[in-house]
Amino acid sequence: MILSNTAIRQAVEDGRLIIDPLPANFYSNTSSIDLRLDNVLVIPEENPSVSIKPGAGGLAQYLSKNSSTHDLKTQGPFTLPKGELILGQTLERIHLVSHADPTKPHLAARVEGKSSYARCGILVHFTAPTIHAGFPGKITLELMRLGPLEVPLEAGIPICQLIVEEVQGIPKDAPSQFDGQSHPAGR
Amino acid sequence: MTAWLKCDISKGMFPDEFTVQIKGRTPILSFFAPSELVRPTKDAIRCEIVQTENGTTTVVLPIRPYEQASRVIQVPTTEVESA
Repeated sequence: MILSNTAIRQAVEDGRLIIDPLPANFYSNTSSIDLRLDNVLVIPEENPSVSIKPGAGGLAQYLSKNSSTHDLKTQGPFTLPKGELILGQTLERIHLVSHADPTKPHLAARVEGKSSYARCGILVHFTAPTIHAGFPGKITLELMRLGPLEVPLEAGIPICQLIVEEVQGIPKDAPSQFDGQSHPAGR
Repeated sequence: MTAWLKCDISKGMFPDEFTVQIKGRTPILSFFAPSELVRPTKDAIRCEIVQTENGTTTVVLPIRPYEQASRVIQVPTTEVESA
């Protein structure tokens, strides 16, 4: 069940959802809350000679060593090159708090784009919209321009929206030692 | 029980995150972690101990590594320090 803006506000007041800082314009959408773009963008370096196997090991190290940053506050607005992937983050830190109130359902969320940017061909995420119950942190955005128009990105613009949903059942907070194993004997 | 697991900590892609690498295993496990989960001065990541037996400790990492589908790993007990 998707939460209305008033139910999202109630979840914040109940301590089940932390949004920090809390946007001033809380009720701009009826069933979501807008989140803003933080000032640092990460620009992955193009390296056609390298092929990545995510399971091969050390992926995070490779990604962080082969990228640069653009600070929207000190370096000014950034125009997405057409067809290239840039990473951003929400200004707001989100926490879908586990066990805040045992009588109420846990929350999960999805990050979605906004129609204004979508019509200009700007993607703000792809393939990874789910914010799992218990998640704490800023939301990483996968930004890409598909459209012909140049759209400068500025710090603090409402770049995406958070859809908040109730989770049926109680999520298992700490996985057991058997999680991820495929054999009944524990291998 | 919350503990600290030895690992390699270096800067992340964003200013408020770190790159974490759990070495000594194949593949090397890696992920990005917010600053409150790491102890960069001692190269350690926060984790939860599940079980300790025969010099091996099973821990739950706070974030799932890119290289495997589970947050649960087994490490030498000497690599883990109680928080």
